[in-house]
Amino acid sequence: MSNSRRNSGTRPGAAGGRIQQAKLVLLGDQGVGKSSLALRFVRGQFPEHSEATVGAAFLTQTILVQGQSLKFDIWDTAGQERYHSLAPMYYRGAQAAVVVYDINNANTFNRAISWVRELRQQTAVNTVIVLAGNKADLASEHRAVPTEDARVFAEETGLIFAECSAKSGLAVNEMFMMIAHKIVGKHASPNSSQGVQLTGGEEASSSGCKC
Amino acid sequence: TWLKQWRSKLEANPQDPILISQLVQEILRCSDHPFTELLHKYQMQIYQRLYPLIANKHQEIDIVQVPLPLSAWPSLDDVSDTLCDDIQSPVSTSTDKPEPTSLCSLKDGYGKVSQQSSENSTGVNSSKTEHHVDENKNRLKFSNKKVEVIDIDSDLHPLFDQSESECSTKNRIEDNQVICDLSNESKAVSDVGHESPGLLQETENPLTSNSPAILPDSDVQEDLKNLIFGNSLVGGNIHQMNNNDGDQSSDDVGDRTLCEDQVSKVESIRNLCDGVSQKADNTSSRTDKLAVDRGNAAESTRNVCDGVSQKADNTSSRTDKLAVDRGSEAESTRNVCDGVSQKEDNTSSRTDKLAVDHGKELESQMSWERRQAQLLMRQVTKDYSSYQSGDSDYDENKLDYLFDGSEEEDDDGYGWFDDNASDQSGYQSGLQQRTVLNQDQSSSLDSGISDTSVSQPDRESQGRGFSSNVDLENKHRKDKQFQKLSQEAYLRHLKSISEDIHCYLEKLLVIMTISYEPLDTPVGKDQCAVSLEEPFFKPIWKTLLRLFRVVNHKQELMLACVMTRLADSTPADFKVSQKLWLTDPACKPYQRAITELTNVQQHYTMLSKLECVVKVCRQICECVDDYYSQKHGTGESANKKAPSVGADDLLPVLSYVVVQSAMPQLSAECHAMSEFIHEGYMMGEEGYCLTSLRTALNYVISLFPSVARPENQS
Repeated sequence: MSNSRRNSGTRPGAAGGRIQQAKLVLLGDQGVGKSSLALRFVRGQFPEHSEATVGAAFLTQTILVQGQSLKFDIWDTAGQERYHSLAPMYYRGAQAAVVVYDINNANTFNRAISWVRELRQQTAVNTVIVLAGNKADLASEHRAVPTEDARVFAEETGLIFAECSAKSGLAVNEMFMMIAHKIVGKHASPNSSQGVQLTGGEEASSSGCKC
Repeated sequence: TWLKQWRSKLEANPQDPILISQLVQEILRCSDHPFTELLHKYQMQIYQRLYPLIANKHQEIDIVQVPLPLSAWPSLDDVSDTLCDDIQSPVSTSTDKPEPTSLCSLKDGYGKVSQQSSENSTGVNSSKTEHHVDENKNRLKFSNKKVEVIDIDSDLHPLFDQSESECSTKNRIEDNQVICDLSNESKAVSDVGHESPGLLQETENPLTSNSPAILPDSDVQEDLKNLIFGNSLVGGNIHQMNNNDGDQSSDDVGDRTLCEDQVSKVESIRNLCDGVSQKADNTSSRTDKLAVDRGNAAESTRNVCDGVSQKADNTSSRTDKLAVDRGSEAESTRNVCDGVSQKEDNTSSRTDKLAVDHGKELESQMSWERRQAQLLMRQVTKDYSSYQSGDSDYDENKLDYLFDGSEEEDDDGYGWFDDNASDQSGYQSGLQQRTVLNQDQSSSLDSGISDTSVSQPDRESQGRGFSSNVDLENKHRKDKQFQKLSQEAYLRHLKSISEDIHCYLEKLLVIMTISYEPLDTPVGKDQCAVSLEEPFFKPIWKTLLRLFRVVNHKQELMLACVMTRLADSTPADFKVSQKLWLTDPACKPYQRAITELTNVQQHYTMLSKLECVVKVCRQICECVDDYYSQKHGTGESANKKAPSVGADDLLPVLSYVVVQSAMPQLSAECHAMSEFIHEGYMMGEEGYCLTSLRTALNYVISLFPSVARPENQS
């Protein structure tokens, strides 16, 4: 049969096995680097635990958080407004949503704000929402969205906030780890990755590839 | 003994997926295994509900193809509501184009107009203006009330073939008694089948393209469809039907001479009563089936049944009152039948067969009457359950369920009937029922798009035949409402049938896990469900898909339009970023993905379809990779790495692939897939790909206003 892959596996989400599964959806305007962020996270450190099947549009990454395996299903979405109509199908049932904007483009930030509003209305209260300002590597010259503005907005609406760079890898892994912590349910400890163990094993203690 | 071997094998190795699927196959190969019988019974039940719903819809469905025939192009007005209320998304849609807003206002206007006119009788004017507005604003070209005669042979033959083969499927499945009935039925169908080529050849020649000649032809066609429809409805009721058949056809001879006599009124009352008692029978047979499923509930249900049949007696007295109103309508039914048969008379000189045919017509008419009676029963049941407080809630629910289940496509009439019953206004009732009738009779003409313009003359003539005080403009307006209502009714049927399918699959799964305890693990259950899916869906899939296609008809039409219009499009037309255009002189870009997408329709099970969809998405990425590695080889852009395809790029490419696939039924396929695929699968990659495909489809459909307009102007 064609569905050999499924035949051997469990129905995802149906069995409460050892591996917890989490759907993470990436939202944001076109060209802000949603898929690059995901690719950085997935390919950055332990590519052997990831699966990139549909290009960079759908990725999975398994990590170990507090002794618990967590498998991220990362759903990338199209940023173009014309594909917006079925966006609810993308973020329905997602445990986490990362709303990405480009630090160097104020329009993308406005769009991110409207995404956050929509998510708040349409998704469950316990959905982890992250506001991520991407392209921090270019911010020294082209910054258009002040960090404070974004931080204030994030605090007001109760979001996790991070400025990161998919290109350099800045703060990308930390961000995903924070999400993982929140999902696994124990106390999330922002700004630190202590106690986080990546499933890579040998180099597990080093966190991220900051620059 | 072989089952015992399996049992021991299973205990030794309870999680082996191959073993489990082999076991399921083995069991299903054994045709008298209780499990197999149950599976077949469930399939039969689904099938019996599906077939009447789609039996007269073949033409409507088959016309949707790429390239779409010009006659089938929907007008913006026809599809405006589909475009506006985006059912799939809870969030308000915002599109790049300004069209939807103007459509919305148009639609609002229409809504107001129709509301007004339903409130008072000055609706003639308003609906007229509405008509003008539609035609002028959208600059439609559908005023030339001309239908292309689509190739009738190819249209009808598959129909017969299918119904014959379906009959044989039924024979295989059904128990003895029904096999008897069905062999009658299939014989009847094959009779019709033999006769039709002659009829068709005779009718086809004189009417190649001139529109007046189409009418008799499509009548004949419709008539044939009605016959099949009638046959298919017979099911468990066939005995009673056959008993009546003799009387009916003898009555009919008298009827034809007397035409609009009182006799028909009396008969219609009798028909109604028959219908009611049939209904009761029907109910009890269904109840029996259910009782098998739920042994402990059997007695209570049967009690309810007794109640129902008692009620049926009471109903007949009520029926008398309402049947007076119905009399005229029954008359008109007969008129139509007579008209059709006279036409048939002209075309075929075989008068001896005519009587038989006529009997069958009456059968179909009977079934219609029966449905009316079902409506009545529903009404009565409501009253009944309101004062029958003695019954437990469970019973009442049960009762409701039964009626929900057995009510076939009468929903579209139900709203009206309900109104009438409370109105008690005889004339109105007659008028509206007649409109229902017209709708019914000409529904096969109504291919959904050019219907209003095409069937108008036809209906006009009918209307004159019945009574002169029927307001044609009102009819036109009501047709629209009926279309909407019937669309909604189909959606409801689809939902309830889908629920049943889910329920049956679940039951089968539970039975498997009960009889083979080692399977009662997540893995085992999973594997079981996977192995059950194919044998369950394979026999009914084609019919089921047709229902989905009927429900998605408007979307499919729009999709077909866009596909036709953009057949020569390139990725650039979908705003794919330039690095992914993959311009290649040798073949179309993304050809492999396109081919893969067309394979979706060849699979019978949801999971294999889904697998196909996943492959499409992967192929897109592979196409990109291959393209760049080839380029790399030729050194054209040696330093360029293949770009990674994120969703920003995937969706435009997917939209392009959808259009190039030229498969409008994708809309229905996707709908079915998302309906029957287990929630769990929707989380992972499969879910992602399906969601992306649906998004791309939606986008392509949303292009419709922009492609439809230039076409209609030019």
